[in-house]
Amino acid sequence: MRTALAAALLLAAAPAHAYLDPGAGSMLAQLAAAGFAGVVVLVRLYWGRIKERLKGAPPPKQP
Amino acid sequence: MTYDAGSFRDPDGRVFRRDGRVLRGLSARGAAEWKAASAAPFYKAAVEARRLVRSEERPAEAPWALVLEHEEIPAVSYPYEWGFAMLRDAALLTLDLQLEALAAGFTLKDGTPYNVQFVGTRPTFIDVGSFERLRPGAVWAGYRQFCEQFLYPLMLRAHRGMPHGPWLRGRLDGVRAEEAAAILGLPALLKPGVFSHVFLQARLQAGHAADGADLRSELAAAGAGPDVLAAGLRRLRDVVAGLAWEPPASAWSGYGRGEHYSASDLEAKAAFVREAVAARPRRLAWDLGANRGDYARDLAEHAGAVLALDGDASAHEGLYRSLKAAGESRILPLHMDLADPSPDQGWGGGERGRLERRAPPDFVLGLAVLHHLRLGAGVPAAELAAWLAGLGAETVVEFASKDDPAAKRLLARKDDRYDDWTPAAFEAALAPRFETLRRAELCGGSRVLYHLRPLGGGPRPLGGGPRSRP
Repeated sequence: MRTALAAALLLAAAPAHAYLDPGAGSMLAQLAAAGFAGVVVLVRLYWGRIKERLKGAPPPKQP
Repeated sequence: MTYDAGSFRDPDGRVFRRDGRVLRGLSARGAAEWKAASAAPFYKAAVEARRLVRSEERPAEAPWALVLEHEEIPAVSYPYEWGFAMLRDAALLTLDLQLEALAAGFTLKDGTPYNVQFVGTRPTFIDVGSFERLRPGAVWAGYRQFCEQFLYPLMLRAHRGMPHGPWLRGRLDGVRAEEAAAILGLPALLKPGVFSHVFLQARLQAGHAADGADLRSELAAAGAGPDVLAAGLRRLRDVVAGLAWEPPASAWSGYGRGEHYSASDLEAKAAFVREAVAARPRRLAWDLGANRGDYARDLAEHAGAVLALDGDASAHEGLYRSLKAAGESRILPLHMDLADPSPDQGWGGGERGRLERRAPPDFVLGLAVLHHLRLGAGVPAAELAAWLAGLGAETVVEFASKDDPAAKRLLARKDDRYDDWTPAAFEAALAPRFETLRRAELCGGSRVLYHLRPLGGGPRPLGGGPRSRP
């Protein structure tokens, strides 16, 4: 019982990166190779990044 | 505790041996993932169908929270010893298990051919510690590795005729995307899957090398989930299943038991072999120069398992395909040049062991092959005898003298400097190392069969190899 609890806590706390680097480019390529549904995910991902960049841009100078 | 020399990268699980048993220690986290996965119906079905290795729980021992015992694989082999169809079958097994896992909410941590072993011609997934629960936003973590160690080698063979063995032996990590792109070239863009899995992946790898740890949460927010992943993997599976390579005709691919033997000689030879191998139960027999597998099939009647080795890619490919069509699970065909066999290599010079270390024989058959090693590859007779004796097994070999038509062909364009290649000289090389149990002449004396037992007991100790690790 205690081991199960400890394991559950470990799992909750762990960043859950397996030992093998999946490679960022490969993670995206996998989606690109998944047909239309995958491309939709990538478009949303890139759009999310564009939005973040726009949010972080300094406000336009006031006259 | 002596861990398997190739099992060290995953801190959540490591393989070790004790008393001839194969054991796997799992950490608390690894144990939790395995317990969840092994309870799933897809896992149990895969074990029943013998596509996934059987595991039984054993008492925990420090530092492991859970210990599993696995059924043993009769002979461990490596992807650089497999032919095209073998590598493709192992790839399809990996993708099928990943698809079945995804449907149940699991995924594989990696995508390496070293997760697969062959029992005869049946591929079996052995790394049960690779299954873990799928987390939000996760894609298949093994995709890059699968491409580098399965897909690109298969594509290079199918589209450019380039054999994968030398590459995978020379670099255990396989072929990188930009290398595959360079070798396949632009014309290959017409072939299925080449644009996305090779060229696009190479491009995206170059452009996103610096992407950080948040990628998974970004992907989760963008809607990445098991359905999208499965769609992609089914397409990848179609690409792999569609890759084909037809072995070109070679000097060996049409060769049978031997056109230059008379019928009575062939019968005498077969009887000699049968009598030798049947003398006592054999655990693992090696057939050197197995070709069409005629004698390997005889050996399989009397041995737990047979390793059928051949150095000709076309002969090996034909042998695997015919054994597989017959559903043969006792004979494992491997592609290997006996004069340049698989070495100890990888991390510590032992991560991937030489063949004698991982599949030691207790019976060796070398018919119509030694003269190739002597007259073709130039290995002196004394060295051949020492090597055979070092295997520590009862041996049946066939000596073909220089009068023999096959031997004459090997010498056709060379000076005959092979003074140690006569029956008398060969027997002199054998004498200090072997006891001759039986001797028989064939083909009017140009071929001699020997049934030998090495003097001095067991196999020669192999240097190097795994050391105890903490």
